[in-house]
Amino acid sequence: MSKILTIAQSVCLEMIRRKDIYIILTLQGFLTLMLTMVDSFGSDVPSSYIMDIGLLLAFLLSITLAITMSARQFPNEERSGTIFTILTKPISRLEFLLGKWCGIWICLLLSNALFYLIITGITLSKGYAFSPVTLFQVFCLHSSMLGIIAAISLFFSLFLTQAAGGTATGIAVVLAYLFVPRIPNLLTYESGWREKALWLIYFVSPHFELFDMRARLLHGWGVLEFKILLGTLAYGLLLTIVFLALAWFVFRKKHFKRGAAL
Amino acid sequence: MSSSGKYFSLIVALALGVGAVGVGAMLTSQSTSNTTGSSAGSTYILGPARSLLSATLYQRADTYFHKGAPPNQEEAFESIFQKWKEAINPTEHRHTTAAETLEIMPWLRLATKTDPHNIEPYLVACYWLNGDCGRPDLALGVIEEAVGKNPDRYEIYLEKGRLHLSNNQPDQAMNSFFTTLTLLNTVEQTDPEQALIDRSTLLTIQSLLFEAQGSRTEAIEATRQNLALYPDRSSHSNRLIKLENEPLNPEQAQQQLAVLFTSKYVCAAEANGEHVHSENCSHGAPVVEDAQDHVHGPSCNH
Repeated sequence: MSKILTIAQSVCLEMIRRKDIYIILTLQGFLTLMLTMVDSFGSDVPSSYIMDIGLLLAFLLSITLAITMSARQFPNEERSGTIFTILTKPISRLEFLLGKWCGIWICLLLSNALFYLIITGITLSKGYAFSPVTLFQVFCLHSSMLGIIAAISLFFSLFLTQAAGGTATGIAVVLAYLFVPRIPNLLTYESGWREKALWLIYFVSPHFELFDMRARLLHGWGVLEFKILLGTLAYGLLLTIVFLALAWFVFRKKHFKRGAAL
Repeated sequence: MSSSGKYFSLIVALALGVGAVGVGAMLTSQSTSNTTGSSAGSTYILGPARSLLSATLYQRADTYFHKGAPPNQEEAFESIFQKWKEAINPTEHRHTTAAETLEIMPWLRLATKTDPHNIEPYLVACYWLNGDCGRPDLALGVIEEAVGKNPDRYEIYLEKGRLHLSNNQPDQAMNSFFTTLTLLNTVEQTDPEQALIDRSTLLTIQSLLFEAQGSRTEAIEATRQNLALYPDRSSHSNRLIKLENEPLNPEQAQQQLAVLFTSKYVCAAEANGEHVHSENCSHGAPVVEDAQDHVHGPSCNH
C-alpha cells in the first residue's frame, strides 16, 4: 500500500509542478464570473443559470484534465526512461498502475473540489439558494465518473501514443455520454443487424449519463435516495475496476523499449 | 513545443476565439433595416452558428420552464439504465410556478444576445414578464428592444399591441396594431400562411376594440376584411350580421378581449396529472371556445 501511495504522491507532485490545473481553474473562474454580468432583461433575480453553466464548465474542464493527465503518464515515463528505473525497484506492475491511477484520481478530486468551490462561491454571491447535500451528491458522482475516465485513459495510453490515447478516450467518453443514452430512441428507426448491434452497444457500454445529476440539483428535485447514490457509486467502482483490470492485462506483459518514440 | 509555449498558444487561440465571436456579435446584432450589403454577407457567414446557439439557449429556457423534462421521444424499450436515470434525474412533467418562471429569463436573454434576429425569445420573455412574473414594465422594455433590433417584423408589433391591451392601454394597442397591419401589407413575409392567420387574429382584435370604443363603422370594416380572408368562416359572417343589425355591446366586447388576454390555458389531462406534452400543446394560450377566434401567441405551437 505504501508503494502505491508513493507513486500516487509523485503523480500529485507532478500535477502541482505543471500549469494545467492553474490555467483551467482560472478559465473556470473567469468564465463563471462573466456569467454574473447577464442582465436578464432587468429582472434582477437569483438565478440557477450560473450554477448550470458553471457546472457544465466544471464537467467539461475536469474531463479534459482527466484525459490529458492520464494519457501522458505512461508515454512520459517511457520517453524519459524513468519507467526502466522504477520497474527495477521492488514494486509490482499492478502496484505501479494502481499508484498512477490513485495519484491521478486524488488530483482530479482536489481540482474538482476547487471547481465546485468557485461555482458555489459565485452562485451564492448572486443569491441563488440550492441544496448543499444535493450539490455534494453531484460532486460525488462527478468524481466517480472522473475515476472511470482516468482508468480508460490509462488503458488506452498503454498501447497508443499520448495523443492517440487521449483522443481515443475523448471519443469513447463523448460516445458513452451523448450517443449511448440515445440508443433506445434510435432503435425505433432501426431493424436487422443494426438493431442488434445498437442493442449490444447499449448494454455493454459504460453509462456516463448516470453520473450526471446536475438536473436534479438545478430543477429542485431534492436529495437523491441514498441507496440509488450508493448503487451508482458501486457501478462507477465496477467500471473503474474493469478498465484498470484491462490496463493491467496490457501492462503486465508490455515490453518497454529505450528510446521509443511515443 | 515547450509547456509554456503550449499554454501561450492556448491563450492566444482563446483570445482569437473570443475576438471572433465578439466581432461576429457586433456585425450581426445591428438592426435589420440598416443592413448593408457587406453586413448582410457577414450575417450570411456568421448567422447559422449564432442561430443554432440561440435556438439551443431558447430550448434550455423551455427545459427550465418544464422543470428539466426533455421533449418526449419515442423509445424502443425501457431498460434498467433508463429507470435508473429517471430515478436520478426525474423527467416528470411539471411547470415552473410564477416566481420560478423568472428562471427562464437569463436563458432567453442569452438567446437574444446570441442572435438578436431570433424574435421568439423576445416574444416569450415579453409574454411571461407581462403575465406570471407581473412585470409589464420590463415586458415593455423587452419589446422595445426587439423593435429596435427587428423593426420589420410584424410579430413584435402584434405582441406589443397585446401587451398594451392587457395593461388597459387601448390607444397604444391600436397604434401597434396599425403598424402590424402596415408591415403585413408592405413587407414580404417568409411564412405567408402564419402571416394570414396573424392578420385574421389582428382584425378580430381590432373589430372587438372598435366595438368596445363604440365605433361601429370601423368594427364592421375590420370584420369585413377578416371575412374576406376566410369567407367560409361562419363566426365572421355572424359577427358581421350582428354588428350591422344589432346595437353595439361594448361591455361584451371588453369581456371577450379580457378573455383573450387574461385567461390561461390548462390542459384537462394536465389537471389530472396525466398530461404529456406534444406539438399540439398551446400552453399559455387563452381558452377560446370558438377555434376560429383563437388568438395566436408566442406560446402557441400549432
